[in-house]
Amino acid sequence: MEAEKDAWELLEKAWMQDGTSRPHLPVDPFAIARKLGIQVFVDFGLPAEVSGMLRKRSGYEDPEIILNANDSRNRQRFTCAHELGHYIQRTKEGADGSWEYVDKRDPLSSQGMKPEEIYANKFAAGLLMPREEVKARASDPNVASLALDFGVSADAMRFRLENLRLA
Amino acid sequence: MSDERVSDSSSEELPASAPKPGVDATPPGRELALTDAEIERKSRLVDLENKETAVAKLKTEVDKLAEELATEKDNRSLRYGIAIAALVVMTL
Repeated sequence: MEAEKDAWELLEKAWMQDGTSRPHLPVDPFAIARKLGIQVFVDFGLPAEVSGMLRKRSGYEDPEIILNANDSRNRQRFTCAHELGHYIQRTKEGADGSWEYVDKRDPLSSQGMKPEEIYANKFAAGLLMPREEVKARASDPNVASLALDFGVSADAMRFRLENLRLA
Repeated sequence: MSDERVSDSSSEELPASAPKPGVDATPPGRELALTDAEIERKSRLVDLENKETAVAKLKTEVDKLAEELATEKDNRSLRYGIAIAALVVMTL
């Protein structure tokens, strides 16, 4: 729940600034990153197995997120939200100096065994598909339509519905 | 979830050749990612440009047709005049 809570707090801080109690959908992780002072790039030279990376170097204020330009927009959105999760976790820990996350897609990584990866994935799901918004729309049986509303892939939407026990 | 991945965090300094955030120019093959709003604006701009091109084409077509119409009117007047003249000559 901690990742979900952190994601919601970020939404309140950087996305729902017009005094509304519900987030405008789809949530734009690129705009949120920019508000946090994080530069987001798409890179055509990233290896196919790398979906994205987050890095910050000592002495430089702004961290940067680099996404694989060959990925679909929805995939980039999720990766960007995932990297934001790493950033928020690092910020909470007060990490300084240089650090870097390189996120790969391979059989091991898809299991999401590392605690920081589990956190980042839950954070990304909570950011792009806020719990209450998903619950409010869960009566719609059309997963593809829901996925379109939230700006995520149908697989990510289905997984979120299952996780929230709404499927 | 299909989007999980391995994270490799490191406190080591990155290679000196790596671009420095906010200092170096964006390396080739890398672009600043657009927000949804920017993509929508860009898409609207492209849409507007396409519509402007279509309007310009239609205006050219209209001008061409107007010119043809004017020529046709002139030709008709001329043909009418010749026919009248021919009738007068035949009558005489």
